[in-house]
Amino acid sequence: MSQNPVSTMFDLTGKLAIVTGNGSELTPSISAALSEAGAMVVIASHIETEIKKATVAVEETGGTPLAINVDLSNSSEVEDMLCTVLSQAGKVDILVNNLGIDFYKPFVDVTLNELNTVIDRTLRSTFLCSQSIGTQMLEQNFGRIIHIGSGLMDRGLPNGVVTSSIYGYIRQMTASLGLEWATKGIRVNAIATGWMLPNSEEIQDDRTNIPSKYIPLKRYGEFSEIAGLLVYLSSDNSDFVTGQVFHLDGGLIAHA
Amino acid sequence: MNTLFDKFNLSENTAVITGGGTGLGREMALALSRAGAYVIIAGRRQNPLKEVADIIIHEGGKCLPVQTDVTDSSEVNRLLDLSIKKFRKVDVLVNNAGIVAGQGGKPIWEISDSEWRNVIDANLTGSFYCARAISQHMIERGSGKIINVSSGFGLRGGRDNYMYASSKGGVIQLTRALATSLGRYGVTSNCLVPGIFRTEGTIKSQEQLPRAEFVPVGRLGIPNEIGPIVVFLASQASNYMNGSLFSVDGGALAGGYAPTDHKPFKELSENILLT
Repeated sequence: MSQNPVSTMFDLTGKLAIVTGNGSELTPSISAALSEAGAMVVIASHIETEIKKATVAVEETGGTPLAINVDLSNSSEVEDMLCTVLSQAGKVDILVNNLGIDFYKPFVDVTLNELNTVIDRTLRSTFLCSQSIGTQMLEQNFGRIIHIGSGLMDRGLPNGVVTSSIYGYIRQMTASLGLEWATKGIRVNAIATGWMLPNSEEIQDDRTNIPSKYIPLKRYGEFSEIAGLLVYLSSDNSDFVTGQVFHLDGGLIAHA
Repeated sequence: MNTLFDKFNLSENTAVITGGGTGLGREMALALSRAGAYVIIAGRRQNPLKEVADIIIHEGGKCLPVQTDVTDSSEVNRLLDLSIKKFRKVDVLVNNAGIVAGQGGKPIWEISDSEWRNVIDANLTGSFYCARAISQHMIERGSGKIINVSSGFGLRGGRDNYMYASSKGGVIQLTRALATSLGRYGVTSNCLVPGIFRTEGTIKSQEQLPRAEFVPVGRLGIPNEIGPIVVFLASQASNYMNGSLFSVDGGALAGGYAPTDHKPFKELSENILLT
């Protein structure tokens, strides 16, 4: 690790971070960023391929992740997951609720089954993880909870009623929980991502006109570009920051 | 330049910060220097600039204090010309100069033309002058970071708070206009939204500001807490952030300036939704 003073500003050495997943392509990048900043990373998801990819990403940074296959919409499984983490690490400093979903359909065609599945995988899982791990953070009088959301936290979208409603829930949860635990040493913030792709090769290969048409920076973001903001919000130096949504989108939301 | 921490590093970067002699600007200047940047500190008064410059040089950093009134466009142009001449380039502009205290606190019918203009000029026009003066240089280089500094009052209103709220709201819109206009050239613009920090300026204007007990985290900000976020926004680690707001306010904007530890008025068993 670099000895430059910036490393002390953003250092996460000795911190324990749980990264939840719901099949998001961002999970490996999020896990790797926290590991590279020095944190011990737990990857919690019910999707084996996601766990594997994130494990490899953490290992590439020199870290050894703890991978837990868990149904995050099941309260007893979430409790068991927390017990496993506590038995090995004794604490949880950082929770990244990375439980977004892309579900787009005309509103009249959405079935109740689909709605329930989406709610279970996102809203219910975020609620259970925040409550269960938050209780542990309250005991510690320290914690950082970071929700990974999208621009739909602030904007509507045709055929995106279900998805944007859930992001609206996450947004308000960020604000209210941030306030509720403001004096308890716990900080709750969210990162609202825009259009991002895994790496520079895929960005170069992209043949859509999305960047030129919609993104002020005229390019997609790379997944790894979430690292800086994520690590800042996870660090001790973000103690005066809570209840906020931070857009990471190349200027998308700033535009009319 | 591969590791995460390298991306935060500002070595070989040149940063111009206005209002860098006092308050949050002083802390931003020190943090930028500690992260490796050459810092040009601009401010109206010579003595505070010299004090910050002395600290930076004592710590082994490089800096150039330049006495500047940001409300005078010829002085702003001179500041940025001088910076480019001395360091060959400017990577980062932090538009921090502004007036906190003495901006009014009286009914609208008592505000004079000059009182209105003084605050709008210092807080908004100065940022416009600086961004205008550096924009072409950054566009030619295909990179650059403009960091504006607004306030919670840029997003919310306050009683008898006319010039400050209007000017800081203008700073947020200036940021969005810059972000959506200069982004295509690789120049990003973002906006810090500090809450209440314990600085010289805020202590003077305390009668108009909420007390610490009304800040959700239960305390005022400590000036050096602004450092890491400025370093992040000035660095390669924030390259995909553009037109974004960064509230560092102890949770103030998440709710309102209300007493903390709110308890529900009814016990849960009385809650209509659950019966």
